[in-house]
Amino acid sequence: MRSLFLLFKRFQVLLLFLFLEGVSLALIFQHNHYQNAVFYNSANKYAGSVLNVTSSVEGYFNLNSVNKRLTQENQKLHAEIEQLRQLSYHKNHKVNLDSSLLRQYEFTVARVVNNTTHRSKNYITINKGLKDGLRPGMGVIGPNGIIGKIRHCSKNYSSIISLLHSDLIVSAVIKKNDAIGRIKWEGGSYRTAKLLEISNHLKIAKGDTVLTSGYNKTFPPGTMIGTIQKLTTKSQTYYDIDVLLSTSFNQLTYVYVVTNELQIEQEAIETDSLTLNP
Amino acid sequence: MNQQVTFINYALSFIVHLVVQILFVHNLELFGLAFCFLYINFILILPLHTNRNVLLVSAFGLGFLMDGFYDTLGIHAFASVLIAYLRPFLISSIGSKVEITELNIQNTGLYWFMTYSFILIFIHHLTIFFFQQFNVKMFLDTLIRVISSSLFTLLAVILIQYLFYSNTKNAR
Repeated sequence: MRSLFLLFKRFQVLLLFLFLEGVSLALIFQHNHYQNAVFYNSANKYAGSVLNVTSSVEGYFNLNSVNKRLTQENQKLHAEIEQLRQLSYHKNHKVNLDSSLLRQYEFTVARVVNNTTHRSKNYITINKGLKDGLRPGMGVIGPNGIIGKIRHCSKNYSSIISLLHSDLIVSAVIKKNDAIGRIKWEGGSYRTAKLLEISNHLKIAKGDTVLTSGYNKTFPPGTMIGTIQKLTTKSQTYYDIDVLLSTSFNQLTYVYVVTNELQIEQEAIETDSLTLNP
Repeated sequence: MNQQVTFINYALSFIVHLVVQILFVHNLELFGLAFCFLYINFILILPLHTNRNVLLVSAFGLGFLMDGFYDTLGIHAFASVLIAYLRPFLISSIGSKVEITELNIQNTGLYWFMTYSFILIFIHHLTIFFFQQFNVKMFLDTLIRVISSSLFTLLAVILIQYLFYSNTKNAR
């Protein structure tokens, strides 16, 4: 009887161990489902507010470099404004741009409160959420280029799938010859991603600029992604291209969330045509 | 009464480890390779004869809370429960010369403590990194991260021992 009791006691720990590991494993595999509505992540209220405090402390120490980057960004924006002003001044022919097209994209500034670059699935948390009009599926860009796509929103925070995430694929175009491909990050360094599906009869070279194409609804077309860093022809049909990302993901501070006013309309008409002509 | 005091002590230790990890070492990294998961120090330094059920449940709780901050639902919980389960087996297999209750560097000696800590830290980090990467292609890369991070955490754990425990005998 005594030995039976001891045996049970011995099993009790093992059973508890197996139970807890089972729970953990279930959580892990459930979480790995893309777009699964998981509420326990760093976008939740408590984790979000603690991470907010952490990042404001860090933000204080980073003020210098942030200022420098903001100044650079301002400079770039000024240059761009000037360029556009010149362009409109010199344009003689009048083109009636639809006002809804002119105001298609709107931007919301948010601060990064948490960010990783070293995993195979990286997430970023920002301090704006549903309250500020953000919704899952919106694109996120930075001063230097694209960053990712919103996955979850809570009231005050959102969690973003970084471009450094094996699930995020972005339609891209090479600026020089309009060749369309797809950008995918396959792990490794946070500085480079792969550009896929560029046929190897096209003439491209190291240093060519890669932008977002007009085929995606998330990012405004022509947003910077990076430049071609390495270029080899391994397969018969496609190049093997490494793209040096223009955003340095390890020093994100402020980001812009892109609101595409026409996204719902575009999605609606695309699903319509799919149901009509399957 | 005494038991209550011990309980409060370790509840406090739990909270301190949680806060320190989140506020200070959460984003600490060296060369993009080594990361510090200092919070498992809580599991390492629990008294030798801690009830094993308590050990498992508190490890799960700590890991689960960490997962909230790292966006890795379940991974830290899994690794923490694993080392909490292995801990008693490891202690008995390394063996300790004297009858001790508190696990600290003063009682066990540097060599014993390092061996013990490193094995558990390594298992923990190995589990975490391999759950995160989850593909064989990056095996070497991941292994380098596991080893460098384990050494980083070990250094922090030993440092804490020297800072907070090395003179307690003289002080008391």
